[in-house]
Amino acid sequence: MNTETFYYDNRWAKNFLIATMVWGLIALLIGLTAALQLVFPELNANTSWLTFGRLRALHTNGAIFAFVGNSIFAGVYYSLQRLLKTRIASDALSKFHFWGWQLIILSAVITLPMGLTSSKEYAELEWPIDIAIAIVWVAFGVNMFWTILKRRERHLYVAIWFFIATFVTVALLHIVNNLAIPVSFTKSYPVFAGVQDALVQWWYGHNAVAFFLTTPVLGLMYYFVPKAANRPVYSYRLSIVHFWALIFLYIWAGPHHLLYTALPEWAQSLGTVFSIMLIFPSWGGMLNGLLTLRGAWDKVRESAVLKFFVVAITCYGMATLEGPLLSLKSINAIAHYTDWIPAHVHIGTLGWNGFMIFGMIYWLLPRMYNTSLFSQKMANTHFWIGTVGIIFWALPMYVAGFTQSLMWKEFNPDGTLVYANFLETVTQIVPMYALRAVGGSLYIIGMLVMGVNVFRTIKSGNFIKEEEDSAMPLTKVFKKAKGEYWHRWIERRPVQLMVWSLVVVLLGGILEIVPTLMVKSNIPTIASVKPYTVLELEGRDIYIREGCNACHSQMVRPFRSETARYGEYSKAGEFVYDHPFLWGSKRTGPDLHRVGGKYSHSWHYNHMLDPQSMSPGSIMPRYPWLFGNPLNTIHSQEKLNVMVKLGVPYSQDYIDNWEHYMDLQAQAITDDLREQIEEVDVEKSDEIVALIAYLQRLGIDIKAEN
Amino acid sequence: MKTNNYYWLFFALVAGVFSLAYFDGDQITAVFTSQTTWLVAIIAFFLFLAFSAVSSASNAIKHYVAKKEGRDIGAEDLATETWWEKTWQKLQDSKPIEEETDIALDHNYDGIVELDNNLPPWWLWGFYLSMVFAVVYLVHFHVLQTGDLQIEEYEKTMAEAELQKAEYLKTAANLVDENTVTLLTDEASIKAGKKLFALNCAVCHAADGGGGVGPNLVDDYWIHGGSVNDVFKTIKYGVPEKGMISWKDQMNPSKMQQMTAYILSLKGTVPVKPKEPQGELYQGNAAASPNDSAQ
Repeated sequence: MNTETFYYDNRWAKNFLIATMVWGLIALLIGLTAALQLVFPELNANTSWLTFGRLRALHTNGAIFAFVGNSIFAGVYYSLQRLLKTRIASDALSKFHFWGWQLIILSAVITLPMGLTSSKEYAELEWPIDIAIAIVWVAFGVNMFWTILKRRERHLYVAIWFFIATFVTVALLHIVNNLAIPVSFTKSYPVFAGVQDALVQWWYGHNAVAFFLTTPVLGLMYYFVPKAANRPVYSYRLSIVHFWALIFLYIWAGPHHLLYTALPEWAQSLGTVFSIMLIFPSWGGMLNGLLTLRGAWDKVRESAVLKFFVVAITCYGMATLEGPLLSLKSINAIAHYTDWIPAHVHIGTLGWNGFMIFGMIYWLLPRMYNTSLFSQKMANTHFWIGTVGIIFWALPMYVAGFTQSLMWKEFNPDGTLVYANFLETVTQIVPMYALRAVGGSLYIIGMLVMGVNVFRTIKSGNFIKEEEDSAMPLTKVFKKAKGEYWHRWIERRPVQLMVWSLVVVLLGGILEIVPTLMVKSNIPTIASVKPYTVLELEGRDIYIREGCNACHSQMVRPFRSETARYGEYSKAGEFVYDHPFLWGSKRTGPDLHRVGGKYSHSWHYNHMLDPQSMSPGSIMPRYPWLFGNPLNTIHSQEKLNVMVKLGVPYSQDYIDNWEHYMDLQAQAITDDLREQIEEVDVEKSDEIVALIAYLQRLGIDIKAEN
Repeated sequence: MKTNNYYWLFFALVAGVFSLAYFDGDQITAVFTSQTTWLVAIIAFFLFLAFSAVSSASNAIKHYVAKKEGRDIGAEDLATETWWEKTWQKLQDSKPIEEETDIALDHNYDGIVELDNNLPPWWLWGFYLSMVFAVVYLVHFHVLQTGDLQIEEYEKTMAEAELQKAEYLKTAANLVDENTVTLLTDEASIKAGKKLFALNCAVCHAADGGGGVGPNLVDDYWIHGGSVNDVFKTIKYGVPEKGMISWKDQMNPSKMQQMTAYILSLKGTVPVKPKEPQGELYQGNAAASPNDSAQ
């Protein structure tokens, strides 16, 4: 049989790489803006699309799906062809994938600041975009699989196992978590409610980290680290064990985001123990990465690429030890809702993801442009600025997290809270927020240095569109080697590999989610909990639109320090009509689950208009547009209809006469406001009235029962 | 798998970390929130890293120099390996770089070769141990139910806190309520009240008591009564339907008494932007004894 000559397509790897750099810079600049807004609230500029609540979602989505997402595709398109000794299957699909993905990102950049959001973290995009994501993702999968089927290499390398597992699992997570019924083209309600929605969301949220920020990047590590170091991979066995263990265990760990909440405790405990069991499979990846560099440490001193990889893998190891420890209830009780969590996350994203990406860029670009890197010195400078940036980002946030948590929990001997005013615990840590912004700025400066270096490198080279290589085609018959390792069997069967990966990840998902959906005892009902009124429902949608849940939780945990501050702890049965759940994951401001009835209408009115007038020193943005905008009620009735489809018991009378009921409630609130505030310019159709209605309803239903 | 005498060390370490979860919540909070613990842990961790790095680097240099000088690193060198190096070698169980061709597999993916090193024993045993932890944890909390779940944990904390509070209040001199409260006139109390007022009340009633969202507190007119007892009561329970919040969960009685004293001391001062009088005229406090009531 003769050797065949063929050409690798470098175009889409290159385009994805450029997109990585451009979107990465944008996503991080938005992050920096949001960080600065916490120090200087004026930066919210009284402008709806610039407020923290909306920008935060744009930053996270940008960093995950635009920055890391594009880099994954770049790495996959480059490595897959070479690992399989074949050209990517379809140029048309590559093109569709590239432009489709960029359009999705663009639509996120437009819709998220507009306030079009589902409120579910890292899945904020509304349903039409979700469908587009699914289509583009499948196009990517088809292109990858088709390429695999055309391969000239009998066995699949470990990097490709990770790519395959990534593909099937992300598809599964994305579809299940975004199951929703549309109200209009830009609004939908998720099919799950309350506790169940929370479980599904964090099953997704946790595994977005696992299968979007981890497994594909491990795949990239397995290709680029041995290539750049020119060393053999440390242990093939370790690859096998940690691959299967990782994908099997990861999927169970989601509930560790919901410890001490109203989630049934058996599910919480599963989250804890599976997180602990994840330590070693995660470290398997770290070991295989770092030990591959054995004998190449002298190169690390010279090469910026390897330096980036070493720090990236070390950050991966640190974050994957810290994560499981955070899943222990005792530690979680301290860390959850504080800045400890963003610190942990950013060790992962800035360190592991960012530095893997930079290493990959510096290694890949000169090769694709048939030249050498313009300046090693600049690359090394980037490395050091970036590293200092990560430290300045994370350390102040760890300090802020500890400090605030301790302040939240401190009691006077007479049983009152020492810091009864939540704001005191915020102003205390604002200097740390400022330092964090310094760290972020340094990291971005490093990226700008990279930009210059990349630009000069590209200028000095010629892009190799098509790269020639040759290999023997696969023979029809294959005789397996004597005494071959058992795992080789599945390595030459991509379809089985995909199916088994799916089976392995489905196990954890099904065993946790299905019982929570099916078993009634998991969510004890509370008779006095009633559906929201139509006005409250509209207010809730404003709450979602403004991203209030980015800073305010709605989940009072059963701790003395929380019930003293907020009131009775939250019960599962209180959330049965919450499509979507709004428990939040961070308390930059206080919990709001029991805020109903705590303050007067006028307090909320003044506070939303200018938070500092009611709480001097507050870092919450102002929401002046809620006072001018009339409430959009075009879809109000349809919203009720959709809720009924989802099992929320609204009577036909209520749905038919929704306008009347809305009017009554709005009028009462407006009357109160007029009485409480002199010369107030408020109309019952103002958005603020609906928001006040919702806030005053929060958490009061169980009071009726007592 | 080769057995190793030093495994116990690693075991003890990991078991120690895992057992933390079984301690009482408060103890663990105390340990974890103590800055000393963290400081020691962080320093120990870095010392450990530094030690390993130095040890492996010196080892590498030794080999490198020896190789350059053409010396064979034979048995005698191995014999001088430190305790740490030997332990580490056993825990890691990796083939030395010089012998790695022996375990290179015939895989070749775009030039990438894979070695067939054993799973590092410390890694494997750690993994097993984490599985043991998982089983023990689930059995402890959900099968034998010997561990407190979150609600039990909460109720215990609350009961304990009640006891502590009762114990404290026995000795504390701040038991006043709206019936027994007296008007404090000493400067220290009024000053303390002023501070509390600035922090908590000024937002709605203005820093000088002239009123804003809330009513004017300087004039002689009171919506909910102007006696010491009434003002204390309004602070304590609030008037939620009018927007005045209740402070009893955030402030102890003696603090509320100080605040009452400060508010009543404002009478007769001239605010910058006084709000128009609201409520009924009350002239009791000026001349009356502190125990006077509104009736």
